[in-house]
Amino acid sequence: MIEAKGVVKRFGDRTILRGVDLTVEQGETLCIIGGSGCGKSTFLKCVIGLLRPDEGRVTVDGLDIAEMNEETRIGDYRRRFGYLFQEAALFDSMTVWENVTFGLRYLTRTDPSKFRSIAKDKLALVGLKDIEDFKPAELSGGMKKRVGLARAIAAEPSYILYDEPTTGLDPIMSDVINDLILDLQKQLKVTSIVVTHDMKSAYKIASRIAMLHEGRVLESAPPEAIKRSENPYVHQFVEGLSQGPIKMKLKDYEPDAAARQGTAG
Amino acid sequence: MTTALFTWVGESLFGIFEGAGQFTFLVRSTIQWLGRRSIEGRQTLVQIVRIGIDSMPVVLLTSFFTGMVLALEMGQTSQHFFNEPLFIGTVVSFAIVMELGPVMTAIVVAGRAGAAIAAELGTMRVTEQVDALYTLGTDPVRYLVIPRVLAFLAVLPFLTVMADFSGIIGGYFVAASKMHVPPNVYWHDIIDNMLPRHFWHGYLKTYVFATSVSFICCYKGITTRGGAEGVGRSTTAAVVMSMVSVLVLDYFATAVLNALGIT
Repeated sequence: MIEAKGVVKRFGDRTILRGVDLTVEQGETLCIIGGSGCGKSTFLKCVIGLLRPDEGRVTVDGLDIAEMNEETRIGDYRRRFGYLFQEAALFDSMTVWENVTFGLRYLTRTDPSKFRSIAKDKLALVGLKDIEDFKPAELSGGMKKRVGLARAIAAEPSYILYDEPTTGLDPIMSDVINDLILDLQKQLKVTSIVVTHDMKSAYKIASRIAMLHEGRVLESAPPEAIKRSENPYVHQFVEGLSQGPIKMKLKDYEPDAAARQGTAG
Repeated sequence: MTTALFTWVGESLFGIFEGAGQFTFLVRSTIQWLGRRSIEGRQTLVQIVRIGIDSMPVVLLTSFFTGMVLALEMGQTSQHFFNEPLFIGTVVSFAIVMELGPVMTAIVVAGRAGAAIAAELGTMRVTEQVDALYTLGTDPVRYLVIPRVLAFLAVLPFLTVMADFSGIIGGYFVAASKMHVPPNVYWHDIIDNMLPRHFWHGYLKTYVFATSVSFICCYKGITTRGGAEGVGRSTTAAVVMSMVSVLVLDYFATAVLNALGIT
């Protein structure tokens, strides 16, 4: 179980997370939705320990990475996770199979002679074959995401964190990735957190959806309840409406602000 | 106006101290990992080949021409004052072995391999590959920084010795062909005057340069922010800071070596 309590994260003067409280139950797929810059990816990075919260805590199976100093304990914590990055973050200098099995060297005691066959199996799980010796530069965006997913599941984690898995993909490839996430869910029985602003994807894969806005969780409920939410912020976001309480800054010049400055001057 | 100036000064100072802190943290972290003997042998070998073998031609070429120009200048000057070219071999060898060989090699390698390191690590940072290393159970300092620092420490002294030979041979060609200095005179000028401590003086400096250049380039790369533009900025800053550090540290290293009698 993943439990976040009062998580606050600041970067200089900017406060990105302003007290996030979220619980992810075992076997659940939680989708975190919200506009760009609302802190979704920051929260994900706090969960895996890439960032440390300034206030509050995140515990995974009762373990808090912020309290860990020994390398072995941190390794034990990270072994529980697979992480799919937004742009896959494959290592350019390595082949596909080396990418997929990279974590096995550090997270497990797997015999290196088995790496190639493991990579082949994991790639098959994400619907890819005969690309073991390709370099990431030779792959399409969708293939990169799938290789990234194969890498995330290679060490057989208990939790998979997805950072915008369908961003930048065409609608068909997005659905392929959604199906893959569901398949992995069934086959590996993992607990997942998916950060996305693709509502179609969220409705399809989530067992629960949490909406983050200005660093706080506005609502957390099953997909059907989110669809019918009466919260004006949630309603505006899930319906994709330009009018509503969520104001998008379209340009730096704001007539109101300029007028106010003119009056003050 | 005054407030803006104070803000600018304050922010600049804060940036400098923050950078110094991060740099110190990187050095400390490297020492800690080295203490645990966590060395990526394969990565270190790859970097030795990349930094060493790939830099060799340009190092040899620049040093060869440096030796040639030194011989030319020395030959002309002594011709002017003494009517004959005197001590060309001595001047070329002392200048190359004690000073120009180590400094020129460090600057050339910083420009070539140092820039490549900063650009590579910077790209890895902005494309989240550095974060991916964390999530896959290893540490970027262990996997990226240590192999590059060790490769620099292994390769720069070797390249400097090669550059020393190349520069002295370059000087010999000019001395023999343009100044008509007999070969045995040129070589005797070197052998009769150069002592092992003169060689050590230049050789030991290379370890100082290797440490500073490798850490600066790794630091600038691994702390890159801001996409492709950020990678460009980091790369430029890495090369400029490395070159300046070589020239500044050269003075202090020379002073220390002189104080120790290695001169």
